[in-house]
Amino acid sequence: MEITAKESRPDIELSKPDFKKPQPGAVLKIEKFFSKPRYRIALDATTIGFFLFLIIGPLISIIFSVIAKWSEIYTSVFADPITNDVQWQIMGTVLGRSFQIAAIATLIDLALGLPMAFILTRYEFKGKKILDTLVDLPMAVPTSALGFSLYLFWGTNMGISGMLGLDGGLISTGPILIILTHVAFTYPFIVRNLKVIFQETSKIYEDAAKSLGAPGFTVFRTITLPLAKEGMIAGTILAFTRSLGETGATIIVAGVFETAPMYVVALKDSLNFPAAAFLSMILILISLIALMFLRVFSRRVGFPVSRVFPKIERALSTKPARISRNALGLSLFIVIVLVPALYTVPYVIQWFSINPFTGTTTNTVLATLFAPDNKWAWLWVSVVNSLEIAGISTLICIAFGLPMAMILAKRKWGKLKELIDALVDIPLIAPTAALGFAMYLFWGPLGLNVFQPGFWLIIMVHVAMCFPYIVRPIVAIIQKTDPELEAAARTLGASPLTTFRTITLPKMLPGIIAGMIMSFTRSMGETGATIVVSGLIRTVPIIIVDWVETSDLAAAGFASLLLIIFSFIVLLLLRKTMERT
Amino acid sequence: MPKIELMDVTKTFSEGKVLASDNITLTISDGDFVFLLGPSGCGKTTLLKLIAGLEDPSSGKILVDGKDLGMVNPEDRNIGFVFQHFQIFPSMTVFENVAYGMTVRGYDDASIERIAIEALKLVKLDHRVLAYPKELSTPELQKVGLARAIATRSRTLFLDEPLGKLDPKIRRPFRHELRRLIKTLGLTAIQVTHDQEEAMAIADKIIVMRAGKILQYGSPEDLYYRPNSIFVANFFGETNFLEGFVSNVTKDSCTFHLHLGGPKFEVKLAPGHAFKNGAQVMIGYRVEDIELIELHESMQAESQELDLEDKPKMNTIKASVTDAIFIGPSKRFIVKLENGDVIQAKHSSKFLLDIQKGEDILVGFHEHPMVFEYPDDLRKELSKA
Repeated sequence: MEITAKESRPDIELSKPDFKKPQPGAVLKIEKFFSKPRYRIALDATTIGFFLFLIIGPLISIIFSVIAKWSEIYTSVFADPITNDVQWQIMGTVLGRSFQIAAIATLIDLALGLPMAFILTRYEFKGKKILDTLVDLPMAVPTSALGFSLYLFWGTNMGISGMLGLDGGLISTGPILIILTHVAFTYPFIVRNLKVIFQETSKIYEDAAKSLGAPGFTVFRTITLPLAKEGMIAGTILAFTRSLGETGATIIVAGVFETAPMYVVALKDSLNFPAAAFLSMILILISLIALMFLRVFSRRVGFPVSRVFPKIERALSTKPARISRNALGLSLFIVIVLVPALYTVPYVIQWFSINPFTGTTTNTVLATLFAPDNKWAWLWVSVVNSLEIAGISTLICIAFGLPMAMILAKRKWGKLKELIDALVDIPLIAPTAALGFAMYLFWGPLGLNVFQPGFWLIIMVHVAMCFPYIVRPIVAIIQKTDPELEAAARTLGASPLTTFRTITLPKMLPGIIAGMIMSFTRSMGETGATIVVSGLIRTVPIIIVDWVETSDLAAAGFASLLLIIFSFIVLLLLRKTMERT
Repeated sequence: MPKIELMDVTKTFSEGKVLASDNITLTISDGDFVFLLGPSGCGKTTLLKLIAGLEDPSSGKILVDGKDLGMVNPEDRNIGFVFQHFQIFPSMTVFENVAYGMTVRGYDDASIERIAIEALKLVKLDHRVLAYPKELSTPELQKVGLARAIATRSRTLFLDEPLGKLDPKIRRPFRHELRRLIKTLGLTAIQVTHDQEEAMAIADKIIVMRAGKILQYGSPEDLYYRPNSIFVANFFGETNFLEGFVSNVTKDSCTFHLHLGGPKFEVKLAPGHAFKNGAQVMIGYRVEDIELIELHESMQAESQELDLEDKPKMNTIKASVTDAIFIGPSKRFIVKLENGDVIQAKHSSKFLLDIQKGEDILVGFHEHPMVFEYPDDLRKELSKA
C-alpha cells in the first residue's frame, strides 16, 4: 500500500469526457437564473419590508398616533372636563399592580424553578423524561384554558376547596389568584432557560470546587449560579415581561380586579381609543426597554460570591437538607403549577354527565353544551375558526420567516442586522393586549382601514405573534450548521439556490417543523390580543373567556380540555422532532 | 492544463483590521503538487480559499491559465476542493455525495454512475457505495471527500488539511496514496497543512507563510538546506543557533567568532552574500549535523591524521556533555560549549553509546552552516507562531 517513490507513471485515468454534454433540467436552470445576487437582494429587501410593515409598523405607529393625537389624549387622560386626571390615576394604579404582580410571580418562579432546573440537569432518575415534559406542559396549554383551569381549582367550590369540604372557593378571584396564575404560566419559561444554562455549564467546574472542599450548596452559589447568570437574567426578564403583559388568563381569574393589559381591553371596549392607545404605548415601551436591558446589560451584572458562610452552607448541603429541598421543589411544582394547570381534566370527567353534588344533570358538560342556546355548534365553529386562523398564520409566517432566518443567520450587515435581530423578538415580550390594540389601530377603521375586526385582522395579529416562534428555531439550526458544507456544494458546481434546495433545506427541516408546530400552537391558544381584534369571530380561547363570563363553567371546561389535549399532542410531536436532530 | 498565477493579492477581514493575505504574488506551474505551510493563523487556509474562489480578494488578481477568475462564482470554476472537516452531505449516500457535482451540472445518469464508481474505485471505497456518512469511519469519510472532488473531473485540486483529522498511524500511508492519485491523474494540486514532515515527504514545492506573507517558496530540499530566514530554518527540523560576528570575509568564506570571546572557526558563505567584516550573525546547525568526538578518539586522529582528508573539514570545539537522553531510535545530547553556549545533538542510538553525562568531548561543526544576519527581533524570529 505504501508508495515511497515520488514519481510514478500515470497509469490511472478517469474516463475521457466521451459522454454526452451535460443537459441541466428546468429546475437547475431556473435555480441558476435566480441565483444572481440581484434576486437575493430583492428577496432580502422584500422580507425586511414585510417585517417592518406588518410587524414593527403597527407597534411604531402607535407611538406616532399618540403624538399626533396628543391633545385628544391629553384631554381624555389628564384633563377630562368632568373627571379631571382620574384616567391617569387609574392607569398609574393598574400599571403599579401589574408591576407588583409580575415581580412577585417572577420571584416565586425563581424560587420554585431553581431547584427544579437543578434536579432536571444534575440528577439521573426514573421518569425524568416524563417530569421534563410535565414541566413544559403549562407552556403549551393555551393561556385562557390555563386561567380557567386555575380558576376552577383555586377559585370555585369544584376544586381544592371541594376536596377540603369548604363551600366557596379557597382563593377568590383577584390579585392572589392572578399571581398564582402567572406563576404557573411563566414557570416553564424560567425552568427552561435555567435548564439550558445548567446543561451548558460543565459539571467539571463543580467537581473541581468540590475537590477543593466546598460543600454542595456553596458550590451551587459560588460556581454554578455565577456561570448561569446570563441565562438566569434572560429567563427572569422574559418571565417578568410575559407576566406584565399577560391578558388571556388574567381576564378569567381577575374578577373585578384590573391589571394594565386588562385595562387596555376595557378602554377599547368602552371606545375610549385615545386612552387605550396611550396605555398600549406605555406597555410596549416598557417591553422595549426590557428587551434592550436584556441585550445590553445582562452580561454586566455581577453576583456577590466572595463571602462564604461555612456553617449555614454546610448545613444546607447535608443529605437530609438536600433531599427535603428537592422534595419541596417537586411538591410545590405539583401543587402550585401542575395540578391547577391540568385541573380541567378531572373536572370535565367528573362533571361530564352527572352533577356530583346533586346527582342530577344540571350544570353538567353535556347539559350545558346541548342547552337550547346551542353551545355545541358554537364550539365547532370556533374550533374550525381556530384551525383556519392558525393554519393560515403559520403559512404566512413560514413564507417570510424562512428568508428572515436566512438573513439573521447568514448576512454580514453588522449593526443593522443586530437591530433587526433584536426587533424580531419584540412580539415575544410585547403585552398581547397592547399588541392587539396597536394592530387594530394600524389596520382598522382608524388607521389604514384595510381590515375590520374579525378573521383577517386576527390573522394579522397572529402572524406578528408567531413570527419569532418560526424564525428562532430555524436561525438556531442554521447557525449550528458549518457554512463550509454549503461551500462544498458550491465547489462541486451547485448554484446558490441549488445548494439551498439540496443541502441547506434538508438540514433545516427539523427547525422548520419545530417552528411551524410552535407557531401553530401559539396561534391556537392566543387570547389576549385576539380578544381585542376578534369582532364577532369566535376562536376557542375567546369562547372560553365568553363562557366563563356567563358562568357556563362546564362548557368552558370542555373547550379547555380540547385545547389541552391538542396542545399535549403537539408538545409530544415537538419533542419527537427535536430528538431527531 | 492549469497554471495558477496570483498578482498582488490582498485579503483583509473585519473591516481591514485583520490582514490575512498581504500583497501576495505567486505562480504555481501546471502539474505541481504544492503545499501551503505555516503556523496556525498565518493565512494559509485563506490563501487556499482565495485561489479556489471561496473567498474574494480585497484587491489583486488571480489568473488560471491566464484567465482572470475575479468575478467567477465558485460553482463555475470547475475545481475540486477537499475540506478539513470533509463536509460530506449527511442526508446523502456515498454514491449520491460523489455524484453530486455531476448531478447539479445535469449530466445523464449513465455517465454519472460510471464516473462516480470509477472515482470510488480510485480511492478504494467502491464497496461502500450505498452507505450513509454516519456509518463511515473517519478515513472512509475522507476518501468520500476525495472521490467527490476528483469526480468533478476538474484539473485542479485544493486540499485544506485533508489528513488533519486522521489518526497519525493512518496518515502516513494515506499521504503517499494521495500523492500517487494526484500524480496519476496529472492534477495541479495545492494542499494546506501544518505538518512539516508531511509536506517534506510528498510535496513538489512548499510555500512557507507567516502573518499573511510568503516567506519562502521552493522544493523541500531548498527549504531544508537553504532556508532564507531564521524562521524557516527553525520551522523545519531542529536547529541549533549560535550568535557571533564575522571577520576575514571573502566572497565565499569568513571566520566566525562565537560571542563572549569564545572560539572562532572558518565557515563557507553562499556566493553573492552581503556580509561585511564585523557583522553580527547567527549561524545554524541541524541537531543531526553536530558531530560529537570522544577525546581519546580525537587524540588518536590528531596523532595519526587519518580519515580527515576524505571527510569534509571539521571545526572542533571543546565541550562537556550536560545530559544524554535515550529516546529509542536516537539519543539526544545536551552539550555545553567552552564559551557557555548550550546546544543539542541527535544521533542514532546505536552509535556513541558510550558518551556519558558529564564527559568532556570535542564538538565538530562542519563548514557549511546556515548563516543569517542578526535579526532585529530575535525572539519573534525564533518563535514558531
